[in-house]
Amino acid sequence: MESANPWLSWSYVQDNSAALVSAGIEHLWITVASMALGIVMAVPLTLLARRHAPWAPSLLSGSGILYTIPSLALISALWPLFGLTNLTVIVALALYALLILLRGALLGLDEVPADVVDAARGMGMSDREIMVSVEFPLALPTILSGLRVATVSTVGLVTVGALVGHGGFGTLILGGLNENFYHAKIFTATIACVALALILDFALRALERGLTPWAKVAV
Amino acid sequence: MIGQLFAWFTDPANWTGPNGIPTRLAQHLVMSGLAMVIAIVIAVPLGMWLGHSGRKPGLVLNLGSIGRAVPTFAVLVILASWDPVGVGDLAAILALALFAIPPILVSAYDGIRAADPDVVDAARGMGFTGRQILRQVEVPLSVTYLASGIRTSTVQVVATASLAALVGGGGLGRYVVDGFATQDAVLVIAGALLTAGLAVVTDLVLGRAQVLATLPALRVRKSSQALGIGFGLVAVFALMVAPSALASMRGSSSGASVDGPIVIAAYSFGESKVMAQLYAQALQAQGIDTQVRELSSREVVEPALEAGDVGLVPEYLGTVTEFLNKKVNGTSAAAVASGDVEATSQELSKLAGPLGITVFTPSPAADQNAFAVTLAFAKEHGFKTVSDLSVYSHQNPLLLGGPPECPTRPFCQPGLVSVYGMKLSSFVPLDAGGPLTKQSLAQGKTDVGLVFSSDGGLGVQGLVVLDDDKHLQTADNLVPLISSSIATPQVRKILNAVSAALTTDLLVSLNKQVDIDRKDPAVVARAFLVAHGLI
Amino acid sequence: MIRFDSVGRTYDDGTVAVHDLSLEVQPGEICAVVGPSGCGKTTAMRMANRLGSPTTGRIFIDGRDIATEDPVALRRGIGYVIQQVGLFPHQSVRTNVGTVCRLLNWDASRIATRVDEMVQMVGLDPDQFGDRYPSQLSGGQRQRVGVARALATDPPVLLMDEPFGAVDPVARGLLQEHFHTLVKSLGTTVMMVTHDIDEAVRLADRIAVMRVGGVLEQYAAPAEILARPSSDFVADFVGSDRVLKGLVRTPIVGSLLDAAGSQTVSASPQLHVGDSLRLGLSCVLGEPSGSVSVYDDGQLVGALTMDAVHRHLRRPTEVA
Repeated sequence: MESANPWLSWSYVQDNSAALVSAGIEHLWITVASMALGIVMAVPLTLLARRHAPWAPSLLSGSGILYTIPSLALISALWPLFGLTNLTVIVALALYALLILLRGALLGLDEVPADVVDAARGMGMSDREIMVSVEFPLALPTILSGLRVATVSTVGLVTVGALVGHGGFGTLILGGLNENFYHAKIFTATIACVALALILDFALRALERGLTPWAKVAV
Repeated sequence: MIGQLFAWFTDPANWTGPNGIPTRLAQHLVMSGLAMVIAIVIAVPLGMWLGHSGRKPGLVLNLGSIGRAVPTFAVLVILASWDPVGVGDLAAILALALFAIPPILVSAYDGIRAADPDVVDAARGMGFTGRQILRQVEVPLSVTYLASGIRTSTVQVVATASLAALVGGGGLGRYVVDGFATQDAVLVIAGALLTAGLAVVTDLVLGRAQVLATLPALRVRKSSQALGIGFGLVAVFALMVAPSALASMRGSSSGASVDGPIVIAAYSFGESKVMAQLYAQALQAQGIDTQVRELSSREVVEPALEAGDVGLVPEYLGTVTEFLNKKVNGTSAAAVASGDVEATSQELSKLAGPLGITVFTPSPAADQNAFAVTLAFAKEHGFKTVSDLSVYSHQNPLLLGGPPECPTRPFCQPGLVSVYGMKLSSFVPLDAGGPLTKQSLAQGKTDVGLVFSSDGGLGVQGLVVLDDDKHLQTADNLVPLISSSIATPQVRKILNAVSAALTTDLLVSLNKQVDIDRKDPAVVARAFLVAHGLI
Repeated sequence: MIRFDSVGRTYDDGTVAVHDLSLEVQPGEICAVVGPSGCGKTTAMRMANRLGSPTTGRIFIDGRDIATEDPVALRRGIGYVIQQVGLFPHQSVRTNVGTVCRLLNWDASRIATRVDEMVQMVGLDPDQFGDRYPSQLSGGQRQRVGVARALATDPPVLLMDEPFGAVDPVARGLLQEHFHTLVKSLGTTVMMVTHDIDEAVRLADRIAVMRVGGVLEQYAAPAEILARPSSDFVADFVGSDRVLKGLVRTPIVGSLLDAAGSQTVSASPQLHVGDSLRLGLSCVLGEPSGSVSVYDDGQLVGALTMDAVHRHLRRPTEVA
């Protein structure tokens, strides 16, 4: 048969550490940029949905529909506008992240006990003070959970960016396929991608715990 | 863009045949369906059993997060690269099934666990048998949860099945992948609309089904859903179409800088990459800064070369000449490329010059398009030439495999049909003489495939090239095309020296090192340049 | 201090929540608004800090029409306690109590001192409870913190909506007593809503009885309402045991007692001057001899008998 094509190869890693690192940097950069853009879009939309409460369920079900768009389709649809740049991938993934973040934020804010908000208002807090000091901190666990899910999901979706040449580890994976099924390249890039996702998941869980000390100490 | 899309969708040609919408839709649904069946058969009993026995709640909980952390795309490629599975729909079906198992398992588990222990206890106390409890309490609740899990999974599977096309599978994603290969924006957007549309419709239909399967007591009435759904559908359509509409209004944008390193384009197969590296490193050694970029096809590269976004591309003499010929003189222009290297080169310069492209001296090394079959097949029927194969095809129409643009390339499908009179049953879009095409041949999924004569791995895979006796293929010597603005005498001297040092045999050995031995093209190129005293 | 002037609240669909309500709560007074569910008592009270607005009439606090004031500023000057308390779960007890102080931009050291003071005042040890989260407190403790929070800035007015409703009956009595002492010492004007007539009788200086439809039936001191309910509705609401209820506000004083005779000193129970007459009656009923010794500071001062109770009930009644 052909020459050896092992799935796990330490020599592959050694020889190609530079390529792996630069793919990792691109992967991380696209993840961070997409999440940042997603958050920036989510904040005003959340506040808007809260202000016009009757619109919230429509917004949620509408965004649910948008979430079903295949990543391949969305990235391709944006390509004519942003070209073969990482912006195409970033904007697409930011939209997916936005949908998850919005859902988490609205659900979280809905779960804030009504009596706490009433007490706050009765004591003389303005709407803005209530949102900042009461509603947002209490919605934080759900919001952070949404942030975590969105981040891990984004890390996976970056791979599809290989379609336009900006897939981070995904570019290596697709490259491995085209280079005569280069097993080591494909598998190593996959492991690296999963590792990145798990690391971010772990880090965000720790953040959740750190930011919500009151959630642990129930009587 | 909207007009072009409308034209595409109303063109009856797009609704018939193996690349028509109904066929692709059917493939897509079949793939998704099989994946779901496999996933359900595995996940539902397993999840229910785990739920009933109450074991390993931690595992089930973490299954969800682990499942999310592994990208489906990676699993797809791994399966496609694994011999027992190979490229094509099977890899997609298995990958999708794997991807669908965790959510279904978790919902089956939750469904069984949802039967309130107090209720079960009371039922038992009243004299219900275990089976009665199962039937009247646990199962109805489970169905509710399962309906939710299966609905979500199915929609995700239908959406992700679009990725199958990246590994040579079918389905609606084919339009997107093929469109990218030929840089056909209309095809890409049409594909995007179709895949998105199918996913959305699936979600709505299953949503309705899920409501019906949910216990009435647990149904959530959301009257404002209709408005949200309407808004969502409009948004989906807008999102798919608006960016390209915006882009066409704005005019094409170019991102590359004029100054800075010379961008050398390489196509995504080994030979092109090693050629690009040869030129790049030779220039770099003389103090000229270069940057190699992988791009998908000639339709992308050539305009970029004209615009100056790409500075240099290692091309194939005959093929690129005809490409420019058709572009400049129209698709029905008479061919100007031939087997004569000198003559063809002159024709190329005549065409390229006005476009701002300079042509340097072609190399003796040539990489012709060639048609290959398996060695066994050739031996069995005594095929030596393409004509031999064509005769055979009259009684036995053949499956042709090649790059997605093959049906439009005169030296590919149209040529086989018109020059050789070959009968083809259908065309399978794969890659340009790359691993997908060769593997497909080797596995018997296609009968004849487009490969490259300088491919270092043909023998290893049991494939043999058939002689091009009617000279369908023109002289495809390696020749660097360069943007006129940077075609200085120094650059000319350096590149011509590299070209001159190459022969077809040397090229074959370079290709073997890259494709079979899996060496880094940059390393292989460097070794060659050093060995031949070019750096 | 708090004046409702023909206040009415009618909803868009025509329901009348509050109808032509006029009452005045004097500075330092505790006013209890009682009535059955749906009588509009909560709606009325919430209009006092502009959490709701009247469709007719005006409300004055300390002589100022609250409709002319900025609602947020108004609320910062009024204490507010609700049934579920509404402590901020994500903040410690200290932080919760200091909420309005921070809204008023007090400086940090002033807040810190005041907060500990208030926590102490409601009967909790600041060192032990100061940094706990609400989820770590019992219902009664949460209630106290809620009161501390409401009174932290020593507001002239305190609004309360079923403040002790969520506390278990055992703790409730203690809380009510403690609360009464606290607000009286601070001189706060209190308007509290409750459905519990007993609570109103125990705590309020004046009771406003409302019926469904938001109509004020009677507004008078507890004794008055119990002795002379102005309508059948009030009489029903107060309960036919109103006489007994009224005894809870009457302390045992020396003038009520008979001379301590040669009866054996009752072992138990022992009554003291200041205990409620209702408790006294209960003891008398349980005592076979019909007479219970009453002490003051350890000294035997007299005996309480059924006759003494009857005498008290038949005395010429004065308006409280």
